Amino acid sequence: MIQIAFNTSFSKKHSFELKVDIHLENPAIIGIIGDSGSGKTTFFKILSGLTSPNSGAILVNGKPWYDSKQKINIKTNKRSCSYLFQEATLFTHLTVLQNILFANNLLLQQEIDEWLGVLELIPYKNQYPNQLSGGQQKRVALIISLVQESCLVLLDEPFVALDKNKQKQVADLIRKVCKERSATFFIASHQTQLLSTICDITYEIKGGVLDIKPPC
Amino acid sequence: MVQPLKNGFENIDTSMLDLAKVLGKTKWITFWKIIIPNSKNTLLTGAVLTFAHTLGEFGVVLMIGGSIPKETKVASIAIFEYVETLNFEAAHQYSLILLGISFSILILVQWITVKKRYSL
Repeated sequence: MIQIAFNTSFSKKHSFELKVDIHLENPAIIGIIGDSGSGKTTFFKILSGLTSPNSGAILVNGKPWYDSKQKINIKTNKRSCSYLFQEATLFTHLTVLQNILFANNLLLQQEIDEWLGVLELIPYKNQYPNQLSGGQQKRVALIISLVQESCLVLLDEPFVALDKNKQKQVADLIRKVCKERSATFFIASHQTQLLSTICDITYEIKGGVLDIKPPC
Repeated sequence: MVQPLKNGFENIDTSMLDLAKVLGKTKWITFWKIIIPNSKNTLLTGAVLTFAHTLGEFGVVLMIGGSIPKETKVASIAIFEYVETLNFEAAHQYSLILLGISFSILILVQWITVKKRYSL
């Protein structure tokens, strides 16, 4: 069960506010759509603990991750949360294989090959991030966020820099992982059609005072 | 040593540090596995510059270590003593060696900096 209700002003320059109220009983794939700068990444940063909201509470599987009234704010590294950053961050001094092992050092070689095989990355496993294209980096970053056994997975623009075939591969992989694992996925994307095919619910962020609600 | 290290640490991509947090890594692991490997060139530059600075050090070495031949006498003190005893030939030889070492160090620092710039 996930309960998220918070309020934050996410830009000092602009007086935008982000108001969120989500209650989920079961694991699901949630799509988040909205214009650029509407607060999708801020929403993810708050869930992951990289940013704190002004007030509210985040409860995941009965554990409070954040509660402004009780002054609880669990650190990012203590939250069971994976996060694919919009810019597909990787550790530049580590190879693809080492990056994946750094994320989960319990993985066996065969399991890593399976992950890499699904996204056609096996030939690149010993290469460094700066030797990869933007799309390849994005797919490696996606694997890193999926190999963690987290109960909350945040994917910020996972389909960016990918062609149609690769987008489908990524969508299929997300769907497969969600089925196998009782994890809740939040996917922020501008690809609304693609989102509608894999998401159980799609929320939209819009308006001056930002509010998340199912689109009509 | 402190200034190059400070600059090096400040130049580390903060999104890598955020990623380490999201991956559940402690500050200690992040420091050893992410910050230090990404600061290798900075550490090397700092060490080389510190060595270069120490090579020409005079006052502190003389005050603390004195000038005991084959024990605490360093090149800069030797140059001072040779000049005092008007042995300019030996002073020139020592100076030339110090100049060569200093110049080599400067080239090394420059090479490290250029290598770092192109490896980004």
